[in-house]
Amino acid sequence: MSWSLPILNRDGAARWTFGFAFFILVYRLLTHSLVHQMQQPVLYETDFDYTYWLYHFTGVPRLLADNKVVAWIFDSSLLCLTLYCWTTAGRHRWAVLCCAIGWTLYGLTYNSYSHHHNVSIIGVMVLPYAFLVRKERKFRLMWEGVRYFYLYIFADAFVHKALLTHSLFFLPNGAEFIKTNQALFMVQHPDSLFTGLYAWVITHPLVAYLGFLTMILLQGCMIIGFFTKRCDRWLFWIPILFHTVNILFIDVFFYELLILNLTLLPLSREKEASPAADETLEDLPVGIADP
Amino acid sequence: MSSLRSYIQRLYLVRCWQEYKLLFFLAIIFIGAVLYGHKSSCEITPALVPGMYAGMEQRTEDDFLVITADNALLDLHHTVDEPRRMMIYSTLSAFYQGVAAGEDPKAPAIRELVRKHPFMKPLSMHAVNAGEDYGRYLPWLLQYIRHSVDKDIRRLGVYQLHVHYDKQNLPVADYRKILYELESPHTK
Repeated sequence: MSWSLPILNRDGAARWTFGFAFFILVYRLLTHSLVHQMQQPVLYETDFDYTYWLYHFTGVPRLLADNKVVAWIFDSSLLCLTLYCWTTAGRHRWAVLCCAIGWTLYGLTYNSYSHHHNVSIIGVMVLPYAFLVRKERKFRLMWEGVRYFYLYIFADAFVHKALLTHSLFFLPNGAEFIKTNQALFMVQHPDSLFTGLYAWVITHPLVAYLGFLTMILLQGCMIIGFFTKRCDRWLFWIPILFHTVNILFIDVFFYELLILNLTLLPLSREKEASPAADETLEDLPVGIADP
Repeated sequence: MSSLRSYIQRLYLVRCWQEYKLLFFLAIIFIGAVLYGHKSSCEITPALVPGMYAGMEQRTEDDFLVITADNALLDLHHTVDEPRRMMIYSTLSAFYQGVAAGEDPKAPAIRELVRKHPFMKPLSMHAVNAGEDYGRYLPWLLQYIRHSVDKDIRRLGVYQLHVHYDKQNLPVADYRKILYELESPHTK
């Protein structure tokens, strides 16, 4: 019995991308974090990130967030454009551009006014731009480029922890992460099942460290994707597992970043645009080289 | 030799150069931003956001900011409610640090940066919060929480909860200190 991931063509990739973006928008609506729900925030955070310095220099965040009417128009437009791109499979460049810019502005605005530069929103800020490219060959290069960007996110985190800061080899780290991220929850919910689970893991630091080590090594496994696409069917599941464990133990919600997981799905052969194509381009070379 | 040539031809950047030069230059700019970010330890969205990376620290105690709404603990959904919790607790933490410092905590470092690189001055003017904005924060917090939990909250309390970690490394609450109280429409 064999299994395989779904094979996408350009239209399929667009529908999945903008469909995922729609769900992100719904999630943000339910968690009161769309621009019109921010209630005209007053403080913002640029940190030492020049992207945000430039963004605030333009005055756009204030324009969007300070005025209720403008905020409503922005959020409504983002919803309509996302749905339009989903229904038209990203075929209209003007809509794709507006949608992509909208998501970029939303991501920068939310990250500024929430005082936390979340990586999770970066996926939807970047991926829609891939559909600005019309020609099939160029689109595939762009899609492949976003795939490398996604692999880089994990690879860079692994390199940072293993080679630059050596935090991978700091034995208390597993228990420390759970302890500091869950301390408030544990104190406020002493009878919760999760509190019991966290307490057990914290009091067994070797178990916590092995869990931490496993997660970081899984991040490191994504480096394989730079050399071959043949393992994408396995690499596809690593971010899902990684973010699920993070939700359970580290109190961070990164599922929105899984929109970039779509780039690990195989694309159908170049000449066949129909969904009936059942062969993939796994044999073609990848970033460094495909053996 | 031909296999080496074939190998090089298959490299992604080489294919970009041959077929899509704009993407090639974007990739080069991105790689440059990554290298610069690592060298300078500066974030450059989306090239590098190292603030999420693991550190090496063993804490023996912690302080958390806790909010009560009409004398009941403001208890949002664990983890899945992250965007809303960030809007409340992350901003509150930044406010608290700003009030303690008397200005945006980044301001001294930015002034030093501008002193060394005067060309950064126009860009840096919008990198920090103005002092008067801190005075408007707490009323905004009350309004945001009211709308986000859909309750007509009359009284908001902000406390500092001190926690220490016992011999088993488990958190134990020590004390709770009142920091701010807001009563609509006044703030104390």
